[in-house]
Amino acid sequence: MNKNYRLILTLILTTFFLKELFFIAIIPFLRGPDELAHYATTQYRSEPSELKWGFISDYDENGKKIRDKYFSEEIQKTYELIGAAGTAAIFSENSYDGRGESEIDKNQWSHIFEKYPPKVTDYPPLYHDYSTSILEKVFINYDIFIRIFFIRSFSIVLGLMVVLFSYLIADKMSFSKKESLLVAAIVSFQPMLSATAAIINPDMMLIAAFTIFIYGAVSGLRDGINWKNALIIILSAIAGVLTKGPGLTLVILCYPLLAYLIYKKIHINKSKFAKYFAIFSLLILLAAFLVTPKPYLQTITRFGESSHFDSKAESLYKYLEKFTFRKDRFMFTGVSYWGNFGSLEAELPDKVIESIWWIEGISALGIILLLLYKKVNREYLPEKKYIIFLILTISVLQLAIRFYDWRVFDLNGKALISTPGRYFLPNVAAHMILVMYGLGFFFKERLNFEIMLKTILVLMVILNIYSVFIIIIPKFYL
Amino acid sequence: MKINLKNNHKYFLLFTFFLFLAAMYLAFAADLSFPDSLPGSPKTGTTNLYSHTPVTQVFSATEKNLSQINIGIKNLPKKFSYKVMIQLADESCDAIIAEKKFGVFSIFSSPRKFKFKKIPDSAGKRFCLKITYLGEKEGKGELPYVEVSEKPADPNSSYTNPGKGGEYKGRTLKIEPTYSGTLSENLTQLNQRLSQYKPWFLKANYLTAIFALFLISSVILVIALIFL
Repeated sequence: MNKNYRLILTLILTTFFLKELFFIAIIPFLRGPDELAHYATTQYRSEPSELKWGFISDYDENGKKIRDKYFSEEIQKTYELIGAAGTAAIFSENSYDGRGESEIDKNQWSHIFEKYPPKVTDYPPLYHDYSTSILEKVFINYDIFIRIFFIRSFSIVLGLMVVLFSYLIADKMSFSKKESLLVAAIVSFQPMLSATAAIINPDMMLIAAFTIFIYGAVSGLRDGINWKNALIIILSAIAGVLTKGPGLTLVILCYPLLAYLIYKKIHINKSKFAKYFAIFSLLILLAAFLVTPKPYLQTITRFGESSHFDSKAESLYKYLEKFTFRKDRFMFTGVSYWGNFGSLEAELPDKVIESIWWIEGISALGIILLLLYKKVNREYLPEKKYIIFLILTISVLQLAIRFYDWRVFDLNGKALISTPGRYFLPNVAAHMILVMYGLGFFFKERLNFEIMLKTILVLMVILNIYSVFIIIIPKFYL
Repeated sequence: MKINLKNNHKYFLLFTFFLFLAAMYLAFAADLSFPDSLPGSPKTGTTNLYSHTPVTQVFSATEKNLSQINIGIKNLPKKFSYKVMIQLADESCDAIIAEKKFGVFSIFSSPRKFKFKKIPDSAGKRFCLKITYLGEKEGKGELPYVEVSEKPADPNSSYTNPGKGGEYKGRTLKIEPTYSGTLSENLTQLNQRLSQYKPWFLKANYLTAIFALFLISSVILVIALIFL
């Protein structure tokens, strides 16, 4: 790699790091999406095991939802002093310290969840148990603001990995070094990614797992399967599953991907391979069905539970009609994909999202034309196999989240999970690369394509700064 | 003179970038106006805005330099013609001090943030806010409305809405008077607010340093990538 390019990659990562420090400073105390719940879970899982409560359910023995759940004394008292619940914090006049801040700084309240049931989440262990709760323990003697800073900083590390691997993905896909740097910089300024990399939330770990998985896959598609990329694919899929439910989609993708890569490597007869693949798939499905605990299967599919509707077809139709193919639902997902920064309506305006849709729409047209028409030749764009894989990755995650959302809707008649756009952020690198690829259709010369990439970068940086100074700061502090 | 975009695109992009940055700075600086630090009254209801019938409320300014009133106004129709007029008057609601109309062309302003020329001696004075909807009800659509609190911080508050029935005592429109000093005073106050409930190394000058480094680094990165 050319020395200048290495310098610029370092500059991209340094800028991302500084930007995230600033984002940590401007996102108020535990006000990121679900941040309170994830910090509470972190604190709970850092307790000595003998102090932890046993089974935690959302329902009592009569099947009624438990509404009153409890925090540790520290979270409860800090929250009361800051007055953050539901309204803006009450600020002190002419002071850099908030009201009651000196009390909070003393670190005098219990960190233990004394009452049952604790207000925590039941995510897989990789994020809370093996990452953030370790940081909580290391900094246990420091006040809550310092602990939260360091746990939030862990998200920056994950974010740095996302930016770095975005570069590596683009590079592997045969974009030039210059174009790959532009792609990485564009990803690094995506506003919602910036906000997510500055809060306590396992989403960032899932985004990192997806990005690394995509790198492994692209690497396999380009260089053929080897131990290195096979290990990257498998480990990132495991990391995804151990982080959050949607990580399961990586396992779903992992199997056919590895099978395809092996097929390419061993030069076996096509029909023979198809036969082996079918038999092996059946065996794996059977084994997975037998090995996977039934409650887990039921949780992810919700099959076997009583439906709110007369038939599955009716519930699916109503779900699609009410919660999928409507402009307001697209807008809801769009806003929270690009920038919904917590409560207080701190989100990007619809007009901004509509403008982005125009660009994405033009790009989608470009992708279709590039994939369908063999005569169109843009030598500087990546091969179609990469693009088909990225589309597949995005489609599988979309389907998985909407499937789970529908299953919950089927049970309750309400969209309790919903589809906030941040659930789709794990594919942010894939999404950005696809948009660039699609726009590439409209430029015959490489130079013009580069000018387009630079223009998108400028717009993304502006959008990021707009999010900070026109949305986040005024909403939370003015 | 023919402009060659291919050769000059770098300067054009750089110019666009700085132009946007400047616009953002101006919008941000114009927005720097602080509500007092007291807890606001919670929203507990709404009151409809009837066409050409002003809803009025008298309120007290707690500080000097009253410069803006945030108003919980919602459901404004997006139709081409809508207009809302907001006026600030003296306590008797007769002598108009500031007035502004909002329509679809109000791209850079919103009736939710009614800005006017700073009133230096506002501290302790009472003012009257008048909100008038100048459009018509559209079909089955609901009327625009203003959020209301039935638990006002000042129990003597009241507002009038003749379109609905007159005076409502013990209630307040959800409005928030805000105050603005010089740019330097505003930035200091903002830094103070941002610093609160943060670790010591994210406060005051440290915060300023982080912001400056982020901004400088971003600008260098954009320039470097444009000229790469």
